[in-house]
Amino acid sequence: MWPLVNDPPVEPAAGSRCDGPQAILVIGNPENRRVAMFCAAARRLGLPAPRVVAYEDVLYGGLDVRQQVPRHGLVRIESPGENERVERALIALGAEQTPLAELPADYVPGEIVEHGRIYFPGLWYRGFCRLLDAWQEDLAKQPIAWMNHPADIKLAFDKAGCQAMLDQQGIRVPGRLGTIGSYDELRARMRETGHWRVFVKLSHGSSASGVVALEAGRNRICATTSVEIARVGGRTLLYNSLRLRRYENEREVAEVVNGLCVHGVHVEAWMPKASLGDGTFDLRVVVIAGEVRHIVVRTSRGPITNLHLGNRRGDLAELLRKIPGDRFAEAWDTCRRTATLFPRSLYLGMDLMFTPSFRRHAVLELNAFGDLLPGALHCGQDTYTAELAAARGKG
Amino acid sequence: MTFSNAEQFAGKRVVDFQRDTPLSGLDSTAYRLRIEYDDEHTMLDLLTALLEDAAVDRLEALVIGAWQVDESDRPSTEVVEALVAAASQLASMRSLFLGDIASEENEVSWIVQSDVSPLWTAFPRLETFQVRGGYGLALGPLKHDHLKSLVIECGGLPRSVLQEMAAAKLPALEHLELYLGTGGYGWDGSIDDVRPLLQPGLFPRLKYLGLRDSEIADEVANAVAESPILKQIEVLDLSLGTLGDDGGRALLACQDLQRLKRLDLSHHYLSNDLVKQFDRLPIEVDLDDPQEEDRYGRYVAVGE
Repeated sequence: MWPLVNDPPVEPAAGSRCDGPQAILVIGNPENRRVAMFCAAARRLGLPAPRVVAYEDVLYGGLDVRQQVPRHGLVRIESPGENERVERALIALGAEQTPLAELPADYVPGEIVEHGRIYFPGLWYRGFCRLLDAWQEDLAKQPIAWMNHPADIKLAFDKAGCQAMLDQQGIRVPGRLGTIGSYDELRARMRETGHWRVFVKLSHGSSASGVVALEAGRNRICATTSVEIARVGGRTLLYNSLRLRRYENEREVAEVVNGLCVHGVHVEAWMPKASLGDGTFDLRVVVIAGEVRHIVVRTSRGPITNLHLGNRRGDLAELLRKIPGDRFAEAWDTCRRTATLFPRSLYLGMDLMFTPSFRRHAVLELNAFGDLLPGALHCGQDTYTAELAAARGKG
Repeated sequence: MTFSNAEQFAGKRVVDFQRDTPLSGLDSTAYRLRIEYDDEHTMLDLLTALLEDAAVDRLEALVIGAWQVDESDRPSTEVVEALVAAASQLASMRSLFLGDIASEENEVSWIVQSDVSPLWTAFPRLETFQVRGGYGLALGPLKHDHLKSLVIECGGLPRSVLQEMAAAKLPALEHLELYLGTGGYGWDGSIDDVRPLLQPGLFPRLKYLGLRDSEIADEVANAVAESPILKQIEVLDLSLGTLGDDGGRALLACQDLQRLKRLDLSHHYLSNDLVKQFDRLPIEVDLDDPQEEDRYGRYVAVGE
């Protein structure tokens, strides 16, 4: 039986299924490689094939997750990403939760959106939270084990809230400049707080979506970002490109920042990262059952390290050789400590950086679905296999 | 192209100086002083701590990294003054890197340098001087009997620095490496400011001439080809710039080119035909990182 059961255990709700002791449920997009890799891991460990509940069936077909949950089973919530229909339904659900007066002026219900467009991540988050809240509530009294708890997923997708929590708990994070409503407000905040280099990030964006690295000198400005602007019929639309651009014209920088502000942004200090080769790096660290397991070095020549922006994985062994071991020991300790703040989740992905001298490290972000690291192995196991083995092993 | 922190300097491994760790391995170690995010001490605090180390008089190579993190445009003036004031304690220092600041810490064209000329008299035994950042940089009257290597990395070199170089007396200089850069980042010179550096005998010991990252690389190549400097130097480095066939042809037409040991043209806009001609030369030619001109033209490597 899975050990991480809701407590106190109670009798199953009427209608819940009675399954074997190792039953697993995944809520995800069945066509997505995340689900495929997770199911492959279960197979590898000789576990019964996980039952897959599609977001699409929940959102469009009214499927009740309560009816699908295996008694004493393990429940995993996967990313709803990379599925256009699911994304649209989550945004619509978010809009339903939003008073009419608070809806963004240019929100058009049911609008078909081209790939790459930054499209109401605030509504998306609200919709996703609605689902997560419902599952948390519905399943609170079921005898199940969560692999990743809905409340933790919610917090990880709230950049400001997440960093504030880490900060309060004594985990070093970049200095927080809070939320801002406009470019002018951003510049004023930068002056007040003595920060001349910051990251502007969508409050609820995933990966590198809508991230701007901004530097402001006395008479100069430079924004490095994957965001591109397009003007269509009087509207300013923002897109995520796979290429980083530099804007050095203040009018354009303001346009990008103001465009992002519409969706809600969070601003943090740009802490310079340590060098590796001819660029810089940070680490994606996956902590499973309290232990640091999978680590991917993400190198970059620019300020944004996400791997899908053409950046490369670096060589961890090389890094470990180069840097005194106690620097890493301290950092791994921080990762473990961070994971203990999320006791209801079996695993957690986090982005960790070192300062250029390696004297300090900081947690940049937590990733609810940060375990998609194809090819990264720990003790011969990929992330999914290690998570399942850990879930079982604790029994 | 982005700038990273030096891992090696003057043949030594660069190690960040920590206030609680004594200097060691000075034969093979260059120490770097740097200020980082969240540091409560200043660069001057760090320098003071270094000077308190019993072995500081044996320190041969010093690297000054970012001297502030709160603002982009504090000049290096204080650092230069503090180094000059510490000259008697830094008696063994032969190599100095002022501004080992990675792009991640500050844009190269945003680094504010200062008049570094007090260093020449304070450190008469200095052999290697490297500086990153051209804005605000002044070399002053530069007369120095021991300086062998001078490197200026920047986004754009002010013409005033070239004029100072042309008037410099550096009898020991073997290695001269200048990033000329682009107008957008501070280059305000022309080929007429470069030509005086190509006079024979200006630096009688010169073996390596680097005129890198230039947006007028074709003109620079022509000027080099017309000058007698190729009879003197062993390495010509025109890398990181916008060199195309015009400059390439001028170099190929120059008989003295084959006297070089090495020619570095990496990051270039040469046609395949010229690349082949350079490849056939009996000298070592670096033709890595070929670039394609786009509709906006050519770009130097720094600042793309």
